[in-house]
Amino acid sequence: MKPRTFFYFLREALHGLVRNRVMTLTALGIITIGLFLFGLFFLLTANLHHLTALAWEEVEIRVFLEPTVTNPEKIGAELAALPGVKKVKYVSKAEGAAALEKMLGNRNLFLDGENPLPAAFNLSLQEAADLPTLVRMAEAIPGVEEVVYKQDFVKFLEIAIRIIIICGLALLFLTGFAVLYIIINTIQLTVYARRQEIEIMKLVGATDAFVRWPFVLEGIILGLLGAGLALLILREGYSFLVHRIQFYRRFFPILSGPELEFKLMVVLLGMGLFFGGLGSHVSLKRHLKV
Amino acid sequence: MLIAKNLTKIYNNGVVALDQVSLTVQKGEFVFLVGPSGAGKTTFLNLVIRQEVPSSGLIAVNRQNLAHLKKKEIAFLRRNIGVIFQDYKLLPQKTVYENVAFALEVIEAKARSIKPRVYEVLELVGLLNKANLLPSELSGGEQQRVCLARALVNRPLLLLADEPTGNLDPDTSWGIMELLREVNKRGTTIVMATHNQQIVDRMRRRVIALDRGKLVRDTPKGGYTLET
Ligand SMILES: Nc1ncnc2c1ncn2[C@@H]1O[C@H](COP(=O)(O)OP(=O)(O)OP(=O)(O)O)[C@@H](O)[C@H]1O
Ligand SMILES: [Mg+2]
Repeated sequence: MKPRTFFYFLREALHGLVRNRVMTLTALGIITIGLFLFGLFFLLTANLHHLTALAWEEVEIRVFLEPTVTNPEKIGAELAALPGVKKVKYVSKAEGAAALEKMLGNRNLFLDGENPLPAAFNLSLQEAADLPTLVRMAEAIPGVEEVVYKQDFVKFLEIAIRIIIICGLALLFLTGFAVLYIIINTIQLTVYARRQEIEIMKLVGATDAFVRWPFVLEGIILGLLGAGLALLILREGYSFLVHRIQFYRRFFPILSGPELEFKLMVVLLGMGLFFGGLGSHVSLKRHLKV
Repeated sequence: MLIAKNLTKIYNNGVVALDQVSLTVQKGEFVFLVGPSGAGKTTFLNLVIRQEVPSSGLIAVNRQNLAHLKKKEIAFLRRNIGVIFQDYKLLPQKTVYENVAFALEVIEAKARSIKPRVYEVLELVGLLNKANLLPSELSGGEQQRVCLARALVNRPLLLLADEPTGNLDPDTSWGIMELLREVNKRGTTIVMATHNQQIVDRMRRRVIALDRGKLVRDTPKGGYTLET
């Protein structure tokens, strides 16, 4: 495409947006709301996901060693190498006893040399580790006596994660379609307002691509502007929220930071771009048949 | 230049607008297409620019069978055909200059060539001094001339004029006809649909008459009606 042609398209697109000011603003408002909701769901899903990830860290697996074991370091290394293991912490016989005594409030539960507790490793897990496999593999390591974990809690978490992901995806798709629908309808209005122009363009020999571009650009500009506005509102609103609940952060581990902002930006702008372009494309299809 | 063989057009609603029409127009000819309202004149012109497709029969422009054109080729076909539409089809929010330049811009003509070309045709149709007015600020005859300027701006091989003197008074009509005669003299083939008897009778050009979709007469240097 020649630069001049591109600028012609851009000028036409901006012209269209400015000329139909009321329509443009209405559309922009609707797109912004749509993308805002989309972003809201995105943040919600991200946070729920974050929560479950944190919960995973709470899942503790205890690997008890056989009393005859003399080389716990080697077993520890093997455990650490298993898929899904995040951290390995060695709990010696004495430490185990101390922990138990502390828990029961009895300072002299065991006499020296009579400690029946086995040495153990506490494993913390990466998110979504395949627990049954992990347990089987850990049990297969020579020197490992028993692997114990809170099965119910883990099951609950697994189901929770699945539900959250499915709900999140469903919501993202739903809002995505809503935004697409809005953009298609908006561009359809613009196309309708300019149908005469399109007809004449086609009759004097403009190619379909040439006719289409200004509208596609118009849709993209609308989509990106809407995304930008939604982003601004979300960012301000979200950082306000984060600020407000700062104090409760320990109980409400809310996500924040530049990485999240970047992700949100990419997702929203991408949505605006994609649906803006696609919407125009779809809207024009019918009108090009001259 | 233009060949139709057994050309038939039946619209979706069942109206037979053209019925087995066969004719040939040579390069450089000036042809009147006459007939009462509803005879199928506009339909014929629409088939020539491939705005409509034939129900059966063949139509070819410049030795190109229009039945086999791809979308892009349709666009290129239209660049060689100028059309004066029965309903003008001027863009109300664009000035005279912009309306004419539009036809060049949208086919990606060289930027430098646009301005001189537009002024050249505006001068030809006598509208240089109204270049910056909107169509709504022009008289009917002037709008018709803008339409002619736009049709000519890309130097078409073939000019189709659909009732170019439609709602104009006789003097203005003759002004338009003078222009068309001039354009034809410069080599452009012209097919003009009309029911303006006076003009046809005085121009003494080839006349093709349609009636209810049928070709009923084709006379060189004829009149509007069959003379005895
Ligand atoms: N798009 C269409 N769909 C259905 N029928 C149509 C369509 N266009 C024209 N017709 C019908 O086809 C017939 C021929 O119409 P056409 O416009 O070709 O006549 P015309 O000779 O140009 O008439 P006029 O002198 O009034 O312009 C008419 O009966 C008309 O109702
Ligand atoms: Mg007609």
